[in-house]
Amino acid sequence: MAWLSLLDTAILLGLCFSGVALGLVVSLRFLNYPDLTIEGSLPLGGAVGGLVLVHTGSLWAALAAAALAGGAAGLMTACLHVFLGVGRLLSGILMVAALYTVTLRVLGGSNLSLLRTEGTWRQIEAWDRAWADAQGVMLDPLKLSLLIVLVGAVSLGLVAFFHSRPGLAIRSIGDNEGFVAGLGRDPRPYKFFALALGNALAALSGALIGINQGFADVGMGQGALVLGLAGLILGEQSIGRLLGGRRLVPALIASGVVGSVLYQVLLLLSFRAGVTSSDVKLLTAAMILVVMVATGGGSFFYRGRTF
Amino acid sequence: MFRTCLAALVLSLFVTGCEGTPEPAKPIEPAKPVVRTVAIATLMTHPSLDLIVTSMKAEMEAKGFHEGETVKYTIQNANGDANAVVGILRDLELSHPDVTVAITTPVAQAAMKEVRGPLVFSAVTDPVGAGVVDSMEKPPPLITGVSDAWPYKAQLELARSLVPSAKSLGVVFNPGEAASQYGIARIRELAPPLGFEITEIPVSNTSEILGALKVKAAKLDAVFLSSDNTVISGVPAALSVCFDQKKPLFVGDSGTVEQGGLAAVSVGYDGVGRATGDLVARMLGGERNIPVVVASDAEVYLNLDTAKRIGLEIPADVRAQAKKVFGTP
Repeated sequence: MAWLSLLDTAILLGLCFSGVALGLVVSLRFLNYPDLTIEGSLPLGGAVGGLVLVHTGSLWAALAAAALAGGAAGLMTACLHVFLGVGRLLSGILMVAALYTVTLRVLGGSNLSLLRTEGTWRQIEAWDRAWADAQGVMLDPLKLSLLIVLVGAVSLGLVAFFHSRPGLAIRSIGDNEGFVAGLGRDPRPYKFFALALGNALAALSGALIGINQGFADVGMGQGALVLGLAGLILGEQSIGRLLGGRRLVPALIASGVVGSVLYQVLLLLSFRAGVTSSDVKLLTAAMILVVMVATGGGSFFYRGRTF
Repeated sequence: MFRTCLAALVLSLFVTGCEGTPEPAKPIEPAKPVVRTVAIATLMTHPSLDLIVTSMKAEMEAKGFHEGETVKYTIQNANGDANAVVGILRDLELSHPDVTVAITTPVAQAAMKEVRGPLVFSAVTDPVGAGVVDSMEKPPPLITGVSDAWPYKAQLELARSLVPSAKSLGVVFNPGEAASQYGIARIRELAPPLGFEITEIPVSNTSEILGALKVKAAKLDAVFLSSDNTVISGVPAALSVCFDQKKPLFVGDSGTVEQGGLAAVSVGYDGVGRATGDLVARMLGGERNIPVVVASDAEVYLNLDTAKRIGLEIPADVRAQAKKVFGTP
């Protein structure tokens, strides 16, 4: 039973974090833009989502507000890069610093408690808790179903979008920006849109994480990028390969979601196996490298890519 | 499948049978040498937080729980990564510890969702504001803990004993921070009975401290800094104003006193740890419905150079209770 409960938490956390990996799919894989802003838009999403949840009690309003805030952050990054000519990495670094202050202001302190909120999420948790206590297990079936539906819907939406004309344009800019410009298409609006979308996904993730763990904290973004990347690479080398590799949109989207879950499963298994949490960061870095090298990922996925 | 269901059913009967929370505590049999398990989850490594764990173990030892013999500790540390907290807690919870100890506010908040058994939180400044408990006196039966809120009462009393004639007390704080929202409310409540009239000096960032304090300092008899990060970061500005205008400055950490603040009463994390250990021991003994404890073990720091500079005499009895005295007498 313990294993099932561990798997339950891992899937729950993995789905909450999948927005980060999906954000990376959009910016890093499709647009070929190493967008570091995600590390700042995740806690921003947590803060904005949390604040809206506390004041309105509506889960949906909270998620929508978080996505909008993340989107705005992405637009700012795009402004820095496109209009001011700031480099791609630097524009993200600057935005992470700026967003730290914004997040602190939104939270009104370093930490916002989401334990006393009312509404849909609270009811779902209460139902899960009552059910689990009656069964004597530690599982959250309703919360899990809601997340599966939510992440599933977002994923399907992304697959559909990246098969549409604007989606295709974003992917071609990622492949060869000069070519797109040469065809007489202005790549700038697409960059704005893709960066906004990537950060909206990360912010959505931040809101889900905060609501799930019961607090939004200004330190939530720390290490989120590595975590998302670890998930994405794990996914690409497992389900991504199975579904046909990086030329295919559904394979990459599935990589993001399944990889995030897989990463959390491995993380919790390693805790269970007695690995202390202090060693997890080094193990994560080693795991990314091993997976990439062992599967020949260096040439399979990443040729001509930033990372 | 049938077997699993049956097992789940039996397990559920067992669990509901022995964990009916409102039931009065079952006495434990001292005859059986059972090893009790205590799971500790903390947010990061940090001298004060490490001291809590060490002191907690020392207190448990004194209460008869010997590490490795009658009690076993499992410690998980999130290393500052708030996102790892939920996973760590679920992992600890799956080993069904007799008591879970959640150190720091975020860990305590996540523990409210993950931990089903007895829970003792520690180093949570404002447990009610953080949503961990609804009341300090009456937390849920299985939950209790220690708050490391600034000892405002002791701080104001120290100020009173050092400047007996002072009337108007300036309080510098940042209204945007949760810790000082809690702090200013306590000060408003505690200062008038001691004969202080409060002048509130709100600032929203460190650069405002100098100007705001300078304008008001002439009318003040003493200055007190609240427990928020903005004010603590901007302490040099407050120090320079208080030096120039010869006003006694009261703070809440030893570092500021070393830099020239007159006096501080700071939270003693050894005391926080000991109080935590005491609660864990009581929980292990089967006690329930324990009120939340506010750490009372405070440490006094004084700076004699500053006292001389502003022409203030520090009574010998106050000097005697100081943990550390800076400057030459």
